[in-house]
Amino acid sequence: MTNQAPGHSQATGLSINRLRYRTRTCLSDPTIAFGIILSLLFAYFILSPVLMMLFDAITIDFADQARAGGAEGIFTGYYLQRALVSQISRYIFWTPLLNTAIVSLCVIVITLALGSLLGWLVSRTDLLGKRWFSTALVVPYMVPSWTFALAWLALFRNRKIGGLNSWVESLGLNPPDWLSYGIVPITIILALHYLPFVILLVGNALRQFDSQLEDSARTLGASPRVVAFRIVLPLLRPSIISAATLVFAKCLGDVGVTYILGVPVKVDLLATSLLRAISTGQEGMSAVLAGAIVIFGAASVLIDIRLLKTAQRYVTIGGKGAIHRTVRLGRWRWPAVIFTASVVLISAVVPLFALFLTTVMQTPGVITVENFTLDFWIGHDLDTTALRQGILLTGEFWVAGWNTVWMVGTASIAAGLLGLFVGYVVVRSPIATVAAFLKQVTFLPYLVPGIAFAAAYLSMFATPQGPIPSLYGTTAILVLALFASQMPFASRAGIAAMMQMGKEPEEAAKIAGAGWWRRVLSIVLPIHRGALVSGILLPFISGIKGLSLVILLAVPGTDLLTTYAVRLVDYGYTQAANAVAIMICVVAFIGTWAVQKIGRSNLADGIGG
Amino acid sequence: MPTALGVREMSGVSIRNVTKNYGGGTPNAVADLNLEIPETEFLCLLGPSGCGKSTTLRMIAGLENLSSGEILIGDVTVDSVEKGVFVRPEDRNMGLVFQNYALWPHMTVEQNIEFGLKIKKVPQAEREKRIDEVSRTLGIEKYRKRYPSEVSGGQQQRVALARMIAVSPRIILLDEPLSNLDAKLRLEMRAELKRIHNELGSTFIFVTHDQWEAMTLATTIAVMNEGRLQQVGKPEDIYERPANRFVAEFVGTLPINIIEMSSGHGNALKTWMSAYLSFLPIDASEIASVGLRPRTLVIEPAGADGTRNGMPRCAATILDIVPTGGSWIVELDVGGDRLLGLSGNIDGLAAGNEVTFTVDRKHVHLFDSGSSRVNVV
Ligand SMILES: Nc1ncnc2c1ncn2[C@@H]1O[C@H](COP(=O)(O)OP(=O)(O)O)[C@@H](O)[C@H]1O
Ligand SMILES: [Mg+2]
Repeated sequence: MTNQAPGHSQATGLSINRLRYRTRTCLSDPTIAFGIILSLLFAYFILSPVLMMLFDAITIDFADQARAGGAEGIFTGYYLQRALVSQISRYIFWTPLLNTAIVSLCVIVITLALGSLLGWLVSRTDLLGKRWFSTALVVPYMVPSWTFALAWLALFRNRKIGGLNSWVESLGLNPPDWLSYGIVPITIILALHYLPFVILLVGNALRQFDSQLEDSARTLGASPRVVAFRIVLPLLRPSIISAATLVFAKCLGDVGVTYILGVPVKVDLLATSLLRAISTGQEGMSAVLAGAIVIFGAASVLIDIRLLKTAQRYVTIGGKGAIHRTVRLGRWRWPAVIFTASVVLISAVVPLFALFLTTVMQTPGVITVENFTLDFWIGHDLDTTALRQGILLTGEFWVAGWNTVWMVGTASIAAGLLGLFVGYVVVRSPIATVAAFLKQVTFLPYLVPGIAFAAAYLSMFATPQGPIPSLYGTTAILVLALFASQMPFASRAGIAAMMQMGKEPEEAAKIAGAGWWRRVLSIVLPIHRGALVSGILLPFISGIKGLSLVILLAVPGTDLLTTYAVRLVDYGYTQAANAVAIMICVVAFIGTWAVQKIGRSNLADGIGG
Repeated sequence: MPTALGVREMSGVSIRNVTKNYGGGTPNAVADLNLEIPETEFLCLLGPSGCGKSTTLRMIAGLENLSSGEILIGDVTVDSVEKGVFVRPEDRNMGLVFQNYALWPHMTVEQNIEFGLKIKKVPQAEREKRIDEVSRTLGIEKYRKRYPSEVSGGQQQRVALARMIAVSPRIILLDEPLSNLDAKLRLEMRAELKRIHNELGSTFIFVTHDQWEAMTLATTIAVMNEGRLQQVGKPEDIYERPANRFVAEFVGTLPINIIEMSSGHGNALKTWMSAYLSFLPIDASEIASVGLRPRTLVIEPAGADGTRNGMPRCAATILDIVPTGGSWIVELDVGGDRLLGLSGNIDGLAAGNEVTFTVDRKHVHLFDSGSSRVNVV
């Protein structure tokens, strides 16, 4: 023993010093500490609400103690059983699920067929007015999807649920129910709204696509059809898959359109079934429904990621010497223009114009001079029960407008900044697990459609949590939820920016003697100014028009423009609601224009955000 | 140490038993490196790409941690895994020029240069003076208000140098600083670096894979391969007394001719070399290979007598003669083996000619079976 002791203690001393060396090098800047703080933050604000909600699905709620036969918090299959195999499960779960499946399948088929064709037309052919069309075709994505629903009602409403006359009715026709409400209009509207996705994704892929690949197949004797199906289509597969998943995830989470066109005639999708469960205070049931949406959403995104991974080997598309030859349309020239123009007409011009006209007409569709009015915008002393003045003179409208700007603005700024820091930690952290965790956890809201994420926030923050009081009905819950839901885009933008910069500029500052804070403030943030601006503005624009996330969380005192518009729809003030929708479009247009103007980002980057 | 400018501390670098492994099952990027770099030395780390030069440089700068070993600057330990010591790169007071310059794109040339001075809390007036000085020295006064993206690659290089020398670092590290320049600029910068070294008197450590840069700039060259140090010495030592076959083959504009003595039975070349070796005071059985630099081959028309200065000649056929501006590469064939010669004079030689050649005994490089140099006593 005595002989061994010195050698032994020397060895321990050595390994302690090794450890000390490791720690010192790791702690020579606070990246790790920062990473851990960020991880905790996101674990709390993103991970735990989702887990809490899933947990709610399998434990007994206070209100259901008697029915579920157990005390609050006990593990139970009651809600699952009720949702999946009880007498009411058809209404609550299976029919909405079937509807969701039908709608999203149809939307995917329509958008892929139309979108690929249009994407090809604007990217690879000599289509007349190509540049103009490629902007015009994206317009439907810039306006909120439920705006189209309002426009649809303005055009096709019938007497089934009453209210204002529609344009078609003013023409003396009575549109059938299937055309006025339900699955058909929902499908058409979602398809029109998400068409730009596919056009952009496929168009961008085709734009990078090297004509030489087609040429070499042609010189080998392949016919144009064979080239199209054997060469072009397989190479486009990744973007087509991405577009399809995105469209599916969006359909899954979309509340507004169904709320306006389906709910009045009792047609539910999963999202509106969830909305109903929550508004009737059924916590356990809503957790099950939200869980189902999360599972479908997550599954589709994960499948997408998987498929894209296997498609990685195609990334050689469009190397250095890529040639982009335009296809001459020849005698198809005019049909192509007419086709594209009519898509623009149907998907943007007609709905927005009709929507606008309803706000300046007493009775929609009646074109006489005395029928035109500005009452809904700036009138006062109107003969209505409430809202006795035009929208622009209504206090609530401006409050909702201001709420939208400051809440979405705060959330976007916070998300943009933290996204950059997440990017920093992910790229720089010497501890791989911290980096991996941050990357995954900030991505999580992407897998959870807006309405389900809102449900998760409710299950966590509607009751007091330790020192934090119940946040239901406060602006805090809205800002936090908006912030968390914007993290996927913000952190991916941050990671991409950081990867692009490389670590040398920062190392150069290290060598110059600058400490961590100094480096962050003088080097890292200023270099990423551009990324920061678009990382804030793009989520801001999509946040302004979003409804699914906030519809559950806003109360009359904390209305945003979107929820205010829906409230007006509920009370039957159709024209006022349409006016608000128009104002949101205006703000979204200006925002988009500003982003393009400031440059460095284009709309396609914002997709999925 | 009042300001970092002017006052100079001890600034040699000692690298002791340093090993670096990036983990993930990769081989050691640097293996058991020992290197003493005295003050004011211009040391060049030379080796093929991927041999661990940048890693070594970055460890000296503190940007990369060590797997084991220690690094001292002067007599201050800045890294020691075994003693648990680590000094942050911010506190090492060095200058590093990155291969891609790493200028800060959001700052003007002037602001790039000023940043380090601000960090070191140099007063405004002195900063101005210093910026004037270094931008004049490096000839970039005209571009002071421009952003890095608005000046050419050569000028960016000068800005990177100016930014570094503005703070008069005691140790200057350069990672392949000339590799992104065209031939003319490269000559210019080479002279510039030499001048800066003379003026500053700092210790320079310079990384390159280009032996010409190493030979023309360095006072000492350290050759590395696969993370291991192969030889340290003056440029002429490296060229004339390569410590092993790797160094012999890596250094030299034309590849050295290697004659394998252990394999290939009884061919003409080996027979000649065996005869040659028997005249040397060595144990010929130890020799596994012999290296002959092309320019040391003495080629003469056939018909001269069998020996030159007492050493045997070898008969060969000229395959081709390639002019290289002032000298000629002569391709020789010896019974199927090919050799390269480099000659300043080809009077009487032509492709197809039968010739003889030999070398002076001081120009044969002998290597044993472990590829290490065997010295002729
Ligand atoms: N950050 C890193 N992570 C993992 N391996 C690395 C890293 N940097 C360098 N290497 C590896 O270490 C070895 C030495 O690299 P480097 O020092 O850059 O070589 P050189 O500068 O001589 O070209 C190479 O095999 C390289 O692939
Ligand atoms: Mg290198």
